[in-house]
Amino acid sequence: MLPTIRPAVRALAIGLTAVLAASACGSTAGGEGPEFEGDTFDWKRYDGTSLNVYIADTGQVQALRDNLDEFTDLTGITVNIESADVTSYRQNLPVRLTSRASDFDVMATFPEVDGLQFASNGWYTDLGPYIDNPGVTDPEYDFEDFRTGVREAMKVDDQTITVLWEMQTDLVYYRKDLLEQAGLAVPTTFEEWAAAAEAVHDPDNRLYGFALRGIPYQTTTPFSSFLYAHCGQWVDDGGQAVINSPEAVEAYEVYGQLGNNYGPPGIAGFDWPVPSQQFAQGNVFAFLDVNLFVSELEDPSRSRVAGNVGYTTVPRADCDPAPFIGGWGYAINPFSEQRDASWYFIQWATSKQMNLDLKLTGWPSPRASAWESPEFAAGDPTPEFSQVVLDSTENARAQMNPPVTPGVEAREIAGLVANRALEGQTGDQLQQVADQQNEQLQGLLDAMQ
Amino acid sequence: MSQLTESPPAPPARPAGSGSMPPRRRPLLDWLDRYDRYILPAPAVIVVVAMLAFPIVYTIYLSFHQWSGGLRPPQWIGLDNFTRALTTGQFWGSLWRTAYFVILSVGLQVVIGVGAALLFHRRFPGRGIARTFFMFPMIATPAAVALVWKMMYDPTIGVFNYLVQSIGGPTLLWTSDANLVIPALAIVDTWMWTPLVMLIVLAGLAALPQEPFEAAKVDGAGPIRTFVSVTLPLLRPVLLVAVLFRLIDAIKTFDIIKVITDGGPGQASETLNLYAFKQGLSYLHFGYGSALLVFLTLLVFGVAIVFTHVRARTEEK
Repeated sequence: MLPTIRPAVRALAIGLTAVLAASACGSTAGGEGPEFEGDTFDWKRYDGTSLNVYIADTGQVQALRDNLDEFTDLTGITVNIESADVTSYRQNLPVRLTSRASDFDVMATFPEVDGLQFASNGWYTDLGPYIDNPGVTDPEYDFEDFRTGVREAMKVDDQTITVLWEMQTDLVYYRKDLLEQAGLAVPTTFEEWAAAAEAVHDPDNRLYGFALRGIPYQTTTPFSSFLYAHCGQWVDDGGQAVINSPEAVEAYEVYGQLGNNYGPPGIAGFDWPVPSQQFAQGNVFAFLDVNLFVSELEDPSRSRVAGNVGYTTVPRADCDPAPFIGGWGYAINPFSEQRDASWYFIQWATSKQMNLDLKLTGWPSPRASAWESPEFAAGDPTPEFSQVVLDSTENARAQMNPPVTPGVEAREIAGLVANRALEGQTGDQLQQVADQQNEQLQGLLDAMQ
Repeated sequence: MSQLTESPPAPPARPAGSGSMPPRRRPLLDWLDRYDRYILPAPAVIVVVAMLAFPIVYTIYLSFHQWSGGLRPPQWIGLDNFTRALTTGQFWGSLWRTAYFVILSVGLQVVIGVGAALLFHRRFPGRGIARTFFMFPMIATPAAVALVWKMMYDPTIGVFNYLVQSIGGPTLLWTSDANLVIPALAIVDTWMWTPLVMLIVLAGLAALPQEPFEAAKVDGAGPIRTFVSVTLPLLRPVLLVAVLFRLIDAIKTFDIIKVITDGGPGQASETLNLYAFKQGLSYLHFGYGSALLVFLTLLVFGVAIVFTHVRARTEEK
């Protein structure tokens, strides 16, 4: 009997493989732009529709859920939110998009990391035609309210592919009391920060001078501020990887020395929230990272340094400071069958009012009107922080990662040099790592051609 | 012969005149009757084969292609993914780290597991409760275990450094020192899976014949001599089974490494499984990731075949 079964099994295996391969080769999904063409906007146009929103929870999801009834009252659209932590989300989303899943309509994306790859894979819906179509965009939406730098951060290849719900940018958090005890002014250069960190560094009493991220693919976010301040680049104008240039290597060395000399033990293994957690515990004098930690650090039930935190813009070196600007935003799944209704959700979730509501919970809004609103100004618990964030956006760059695909791999390649520097490598040894990693980054660039 | 057996009942006599009619044919039912042992389990077999075979066949299919999951279909590139792996330092590095982790953790588990089994084989008050406690690590969810260990290994707030420092030791960077990270992970794996080795060895000990031990006693052998010359050789087949189980599992270890270090610091704990995962699911090099998984599967197969062979030879002796 076995010989008669064998061909059948073989045929089955081949058949299944063929079906999957065929489905992978299928036609592209959906068209670009809204189906509705007209100039009268009606919030109730998609009454009765149901939307699935799949997003990464960076801390904002609860506020979104709390307000969903308002959206349903306004539009008649019901929304189901599926959220995941950032790491799981990053791993699941591409797999679901690869299988052309249409079981979610709106998705979260971080253009700085996903952008190039998602765009080349056809995983974005161009939002430009939606924004420009008065029939599907509320006249009061005011897209210009997002500042130029923020609008740039929403684009890939000149197409707007997402609308940000947050605005991340780097800054330095420090302990005011310790700085005062050391009798120092707020540092403005990396050298001054190193001196201040040295002045307060006291490992015997578990007080460390400066904390940074250490895991390779996490380091590029804070490291970009070091890179730009030292006049370095990820990729030069000719499209060549230059993370081994003298400027970049100097930036890596400064990053590594600051963390290695004055950081808590094990800094090379620090994931992104660890510097802020150590700071909140009172173990760290200062750390440079994104602007997402304020509400946590100022909450006395979660932070031992609440009320004592100072904020300042990223330091300068040979070049002026240039913190990155970017963040998570909503995008429309191109395989969704309800793209127009999805856009309704996005414009509501990123409307002036929703941004202000989120802003009042301590979330960094990408809209100028939220920061400038009298309601926020009157109750702003940290005006110093707000000012620093607004100042940072003046000279920010929408590029915290090498503009290379795959984004996560490029981050890992460039970040490994920072990781090695945190382990104490300097000089020729570090240059050798940078050369090696630069070659790998160039390999990815070449593969993109 | 027929005299001794009861003759079968005679068929009812056909009515006269109908003797020439052939019996009614039921071809479908006959066919079903004849093949029912294949037909009845067929749906289950098809599902199981599809579930087992499909992922393997598809992984092999992808390993010969370059594909990043986009709108472009997978491109056939022959053996490129395999040659790329074999010529990449990162692949060999990950293979070496896998071997280091596996040998260290399985070695520790066998030594501690046999010791614990010998201990729990003796009768003493509270043995049942102690055995139950010893089983706990094996029951716990690996990801949850990993999170707890990650906290315990933390150099600043972790309990291990607190203990080390309280006896005057240095600050150890358990999971962020490239030289310490694999041993640190092996300790977690050992904590978790030693009970399995112990269980298998305990079962083996219970089944051992008593005569050789009595003979050893008569000959005046001490406990160490008895263990080396009698217990261990007798336990050999059981030990080989335990080692085989643990080797296969340890080569595939993923969850605790992913949660505790994610392959770090740098790439110091990036085993073959983690390397394949990163290439496939983080960087979306589905083809290359699949090729690495093919290597991993071959490695597991190789180990399984070698051990089965060794075990067969042991039993022949």
